[in-house]
Amino acid sequence: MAQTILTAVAAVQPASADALRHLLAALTGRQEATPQPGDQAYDALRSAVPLLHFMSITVASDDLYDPLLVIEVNFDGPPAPFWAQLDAAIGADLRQMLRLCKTPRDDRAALFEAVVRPGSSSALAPLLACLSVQPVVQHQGNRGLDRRRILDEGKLFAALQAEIDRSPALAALPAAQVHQRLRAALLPQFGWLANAAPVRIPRAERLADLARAALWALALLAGLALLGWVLAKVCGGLLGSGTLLPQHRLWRWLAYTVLGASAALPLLAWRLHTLERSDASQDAPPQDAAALRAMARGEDFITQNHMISVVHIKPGVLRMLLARTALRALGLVLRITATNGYLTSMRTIHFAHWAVLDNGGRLMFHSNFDGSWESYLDDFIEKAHVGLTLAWTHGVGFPPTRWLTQGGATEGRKFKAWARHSMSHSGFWFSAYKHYTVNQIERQARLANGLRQASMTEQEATAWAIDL
Amino acid sequence: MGDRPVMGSAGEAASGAAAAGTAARPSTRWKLQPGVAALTQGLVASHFAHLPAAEALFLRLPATGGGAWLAALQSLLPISNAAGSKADTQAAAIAFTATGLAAMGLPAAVLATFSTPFCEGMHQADRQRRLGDVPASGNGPAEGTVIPGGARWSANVPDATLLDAQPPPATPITVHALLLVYASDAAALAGCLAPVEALLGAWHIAIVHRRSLSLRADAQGQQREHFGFVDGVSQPVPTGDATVPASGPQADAQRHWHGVPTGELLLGHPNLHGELAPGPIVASGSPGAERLASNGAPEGFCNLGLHGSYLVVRELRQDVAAFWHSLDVAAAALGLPERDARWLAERIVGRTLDGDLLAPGGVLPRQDGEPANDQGYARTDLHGLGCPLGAHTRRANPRDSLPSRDGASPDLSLTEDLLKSANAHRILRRGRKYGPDIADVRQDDGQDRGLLFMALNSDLVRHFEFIQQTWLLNPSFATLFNETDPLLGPAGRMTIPARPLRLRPAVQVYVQLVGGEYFFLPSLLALDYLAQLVPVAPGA
Repeated sequence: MAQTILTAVAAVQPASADALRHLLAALTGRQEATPQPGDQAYDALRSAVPLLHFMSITVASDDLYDPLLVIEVNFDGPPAPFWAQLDAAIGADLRQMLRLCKTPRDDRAALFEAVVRPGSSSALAPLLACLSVQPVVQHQGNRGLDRRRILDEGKLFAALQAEIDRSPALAALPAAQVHQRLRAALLPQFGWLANAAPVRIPRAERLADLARAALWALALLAGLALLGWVLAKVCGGLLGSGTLLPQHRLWRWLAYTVLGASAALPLLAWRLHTLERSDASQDAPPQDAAALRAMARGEDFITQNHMISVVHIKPGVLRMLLARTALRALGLVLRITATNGYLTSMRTIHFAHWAVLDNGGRLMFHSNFDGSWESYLDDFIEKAHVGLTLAWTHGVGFPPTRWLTQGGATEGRKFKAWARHSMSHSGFWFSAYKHYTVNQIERQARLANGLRQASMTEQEATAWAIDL
Repeated sequence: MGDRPVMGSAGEAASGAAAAGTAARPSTRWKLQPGVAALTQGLVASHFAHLPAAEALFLRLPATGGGAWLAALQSLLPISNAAGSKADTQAAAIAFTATGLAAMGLPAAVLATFSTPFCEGMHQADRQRRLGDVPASGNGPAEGTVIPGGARWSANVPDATLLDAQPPPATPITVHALLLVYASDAAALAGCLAPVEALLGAWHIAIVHRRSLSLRADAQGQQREHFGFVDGVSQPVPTGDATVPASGPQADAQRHWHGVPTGELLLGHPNLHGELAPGPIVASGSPGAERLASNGAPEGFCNLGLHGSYLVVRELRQDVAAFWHSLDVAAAALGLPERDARWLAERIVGRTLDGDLLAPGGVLPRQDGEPANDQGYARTDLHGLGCPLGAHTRRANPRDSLPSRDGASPDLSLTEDLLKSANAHRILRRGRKYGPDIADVRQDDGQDRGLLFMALNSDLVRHFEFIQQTWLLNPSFATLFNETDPLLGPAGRMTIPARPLRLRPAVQVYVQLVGGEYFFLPSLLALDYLAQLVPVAPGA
């Protein structure tokens, strides 16, 4: 099943920002309360919103703008059923939070007023849908695994471990027989092992990803061709001749494309190079001890952590164009290539995305990742700095880059300071499976897939048993 | 902890001698360039292995003492620089905590230029959680890895931000400075210490805690830590302009597997993040600044950190009898005749008792009679069938092996990148064991013993804290699940990969934190600067 990544964003009434933070803290407190022995924190939300994987609600502060209320959700399937579930679970809290936000000045105002009106019971879903911002780049560690499957396979994993621990005799058997015995032992409890595993990325979804990338590349070529055509007309007019171009229409348009590219790309490259050499960076962003401590206090309690960052995009037409094309290209490429959870050699991200806010003025980043924030950033710096630099190179104050991908994040300490400064404390944050890393979820899926098979060769079973 | 089982010890002399005896090319260790060595504390370049007797004195300074005592101390006991030789009959090193520097009168503005973890201290509430130092009274996963009642000593750094609602209780002992004294034998050490203690007393400096450190060798001449493992030499190798590279048949391989830019260890030198490792700075023109170099400091400042480093100190109590008893029980529970306590202990550490790294089918073949160390895991032992994925050695430095397994056919094309990535998190270990050797490892004699873990690094967060949190105590390290370092972590399970099925014996708590803190190990120039600090007038 496909997952959806969205954020609903609204500007906060500045005087109410602290009240909003208190609402988030109160919601966290209620969800973490465990009045009965055996209760687990966040059980209420976990059971009321079974489509939800990760969710954060943040008051994102910004030196140049009023704070934003950012509701980040990562869930199974399309938005409408999910918003309905969320409305039923914490609708009253969300409504109260939205009351502390500014009424949109565009045609969403009526909908907004209807929702926040005292005593209103009009559904939140339509408003949240129209406050939603779509990601330009997104990445998923366990793409195509819905929450129920992740949790089911987690239970299977625990049962497998227990079964092995109480059956020492298994170790004396060949691997294929180990597989047989374990399957026989667990099939009664996990009846779904009798069925084939659902396809994680259906062919239609894959084709759609490829088609989007192809369309986008075509559009880019068309733009260059158009530019070439204009140049040819202008130059042809100046020189008084248009006959140098091939006669056949296809070849002619190809020639326009080459002309457009050879005129535009060197110019763009030169301009970009000039900008990159003269752009200002912020080596030492001011540190707010209270904000840093608030973030530290919220981190490293469970296997995963969350970060939200909002940065400004550098001014100028070229930056705006590049920011959009580079991010879009990165997004399309990742959608096609990063389907097994790895970004180069790092595999620590459950759900992450970039989205553009404020008509292209700001870039927002969300990530739900494994391990500490420091280790996550180190992973980026050491293993995936090219993609990261490409995505953030247009951020105001980012360490100097060359050719969009070089430098930047490799200046690790400065980059970390810059990234920390752009973050806000995630006031409310939920994980549906707080013990599982991306790797563990994949390991569980491999074990489950193996157990779904009625039998295995000795070789297959030996490879399968590595994960046990 | 770095790479070698428990505890950094010397072995430098031993490995040099062994290589010299057998290899055609003479082997030398890496050194600092003379100009740098003269200004850097000797502890950076050497473990003083030729000086087996040592004492760690933990000092509390008077509230308004200034730094003059340092000059007096130096005239009696010079702090060693890194240009020393094995002919030296004594050595000393000194390092300071944040509260120690404040007590000596270091201006608050200068103190604020030290790194955040140093300024906050090892026991800040969020840091305790990340380092797994949760006192036994808590219900955290790390229950029991701190001695009952909580750590006994630290710098007791106050929470200047007043942001922590429930800061951890202060430790009973406040430590301002650590003075390490090394000598060739116990008598020489005693002779050296007596006047030093008298001098400290005269300056109203209290020795609030002390540990006798040892490199005692066993009958075979092997230095072993208390659990019985030979202590090793696996250390990062600094490279770059400030160093004279090692030579010898293994030097290239050693640099490949263990090389790091000098700035990973020393402040003010180029590091892996494309800059000079940042350290504390002092405004030029302020009192004493003329004693410092300005290299690497911003215009208008002098570099207080240059050639200095951060020293992590953790006093780790080892319960030797509990270790071997629990492994007897765990081995019996496995019910496999050839899997005894020793076999389990070696899987926990990742090396044999004699120091050889475990590999599929046995151990890595020795090089020149020494345990081989210049190897990775990815190509020979990716799934941990030799050295278990969660063994202490492998967690402390996974080399090229993360992520360790992904089904049957992992991608090996990235192992060089993975090695580089792992080497961004190395520490130079300088610890020694304390307390008497145990006569019978299964007989608890009630004596206090353990390791005074000491490690140098230039970035406390990226080096020491990363290793502790992301590798050693990470419950999901290397695709393992719900288990931590079997040697240092809380009680739990440990996976030992095997075919067709892994073993999963239970492990207990064997090592507990007695006290710990982050120290600043100044260069000799910085020491001069500190010596001229004047007492802060009360109320000023």
